[in-house]
Amino acid sequence: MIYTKIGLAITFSPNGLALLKTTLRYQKLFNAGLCLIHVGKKNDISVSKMNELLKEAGIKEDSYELIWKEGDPAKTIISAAEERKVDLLIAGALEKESLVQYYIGSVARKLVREAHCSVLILTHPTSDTKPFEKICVSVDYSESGEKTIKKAYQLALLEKAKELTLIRELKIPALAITVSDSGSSKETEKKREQWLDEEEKKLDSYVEELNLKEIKVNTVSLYGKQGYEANNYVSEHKGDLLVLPSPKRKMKFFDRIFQHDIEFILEEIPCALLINREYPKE
Amino acid sequence: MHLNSSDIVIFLLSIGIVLFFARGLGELFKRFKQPIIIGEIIAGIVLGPTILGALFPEYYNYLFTDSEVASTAFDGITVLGLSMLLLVLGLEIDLRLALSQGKAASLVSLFGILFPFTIGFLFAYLFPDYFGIADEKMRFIFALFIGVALSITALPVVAKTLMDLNLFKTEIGLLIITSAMFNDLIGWLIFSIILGTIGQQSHDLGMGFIISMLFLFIFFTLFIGRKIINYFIPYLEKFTTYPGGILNFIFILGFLCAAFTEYIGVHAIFGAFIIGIAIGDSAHLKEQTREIIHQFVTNIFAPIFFVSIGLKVNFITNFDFLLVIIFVSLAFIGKVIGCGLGAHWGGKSTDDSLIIAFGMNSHGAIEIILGTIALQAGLIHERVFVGLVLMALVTTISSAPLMSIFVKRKEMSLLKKVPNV
Repeated sequence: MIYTKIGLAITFSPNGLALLKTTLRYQKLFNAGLCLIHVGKKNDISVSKMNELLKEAGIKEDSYELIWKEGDPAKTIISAAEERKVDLLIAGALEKESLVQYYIGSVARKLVREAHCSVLILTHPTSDTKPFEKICVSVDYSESGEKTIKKAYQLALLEKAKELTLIRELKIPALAITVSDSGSSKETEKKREQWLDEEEKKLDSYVEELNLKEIKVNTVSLYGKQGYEANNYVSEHKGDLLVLPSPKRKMKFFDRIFQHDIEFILEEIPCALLINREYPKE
Repeated sequence: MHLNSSDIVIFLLSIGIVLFFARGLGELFKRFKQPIIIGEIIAGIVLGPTILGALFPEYYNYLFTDSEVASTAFDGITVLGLSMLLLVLGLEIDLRLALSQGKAASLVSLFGILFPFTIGFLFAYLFPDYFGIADEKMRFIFALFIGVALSITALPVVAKTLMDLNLFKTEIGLLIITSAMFNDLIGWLIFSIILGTIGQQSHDLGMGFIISMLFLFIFFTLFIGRKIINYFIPYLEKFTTYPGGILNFIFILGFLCAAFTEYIGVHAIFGAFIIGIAIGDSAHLKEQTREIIHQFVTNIFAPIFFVSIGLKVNFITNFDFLLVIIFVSLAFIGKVIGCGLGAHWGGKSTDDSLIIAFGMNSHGAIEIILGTIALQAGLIHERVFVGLVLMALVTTISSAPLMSIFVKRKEMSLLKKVPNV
């Protein structure tokens, strides 16, 4: 089982139904428990709205747990998910926020930055819930990164995805400055190509070791800022899910001002985004 | 006052000759695996009062001093070159990397500044006469300047050395680069305050005004301006001719900010440096664009500036052996001990600590720029300036060979550890 308990930040927004339907599909696919978390006042109107939504989605009565809570949306969802031992939170988000909204942080982005479990962000959920066809994973050679690749692989198999692409980004700071003084652009370019070539070979042998045989696996090495290049690649190649290992610590305001790798992706989310965090074992 | 035909002839002739000598001597030094900048500085010494002025004063005077208008135009070009140099230096400062480093890099950065700065400051403050202080009233500022001068690390030299020694893509390489970036950032910040203090006297502006404007400028550029620039670069690359559009955008911003900081009483170059950081931070800025800018600046404008140093100062009459020895010793003691201890406390082996320490001990072009501005501002005498330039040359030349000794030693000790099969 990839994830055992799914949490959905359920809202009455226009995307609410599509998000719920997509979540139900994953609940079935992963054979997981489901916890619907709604932040807002519980009154007659909201209860009837909720019932309507659940009915429209065709959810079975005994297949979920519904939690109503009041408070700050992101914080409430995170604490409710933690209490219920949710290991995958699903939420909808806009691809791009206004600059001010980006700094303040929307609910979905706060979930990515602060949640204790994995988070799946869907930018264009649809009611007909298509499976992911082109899944991309960012590689960082860490232990959690390796687990993330394996999860993405399992997901790709379940989704019967067409391809799984492993992306490695490489950036050597201040490299451009070597062309000043006695350096030449040609030498620097040669060096950069050589390094990318080395990365490509390393990535290929890494994939070999991981034994991902049952699906077509592509490998790509890109030169540029981490997060930013993966984002561009996924947009250009029309990938529909980008999977990343979660950063080792919570993202702070500092990471938005001086952008952390993951913040390049949150600034403009290219497609569905899965931030995989290994749920701490008890 | 305008350039007449003979002024134009002198101006163009002098620029042509300066570039010819700079390139010739630069290439000669490259043959000996030395930075081109050393050749460029020597070209200045050859063409300046030290050699040409002493042997053939009529030619020297004709080219560089007789025509006041042509020399002013030449000075204008050097200001342009200086601003551009700082702009490209700023482009390569990765703020996130410089501000959020690991334990070892933080310790190297911190001690790589604190230690040399403290010994430089104390020596200059306690024994100002050794350093030939220009103005006794400026003792504190002078001591601050010597502290900064000893704590600077030249990022361009460091980058090139790491490339030559094949260390760029290693953990040590990254540590040295990030520490050098941090060094430059803090060094220029302190230097800007020094310049503000001097500017207060020459511009007749209040100190409070200068410092508050300075910090407002830094805050606005690095926090808000940086984001706005990042937002606009993709549009520029899409809707203007590449690379013309983006190059112009970068230089326009560079010159405007340089003009602003000069206006508020801090030197023009500081504005260019800060806006350089803001532009360079953008992930949208292509690597190719950065390289084009570096090529353009370092091959045309930088040589004119580096040669101009030797054109103004006589390196023989102002040569003070004791002062050079003091500067070189303090530079080595400060940087090698400071960075070495930082690396050691950060958990690095002795060989790694020494590679880092000597890697960080190259003062290069940045030191020379710092010295030139201090000289122009009347903070130091020519004697101190010559001492600083020579210290920069000695540390720049010695950095790579000293590093390679410990790189080889490390490789040997690693080989010994591999058991014979």
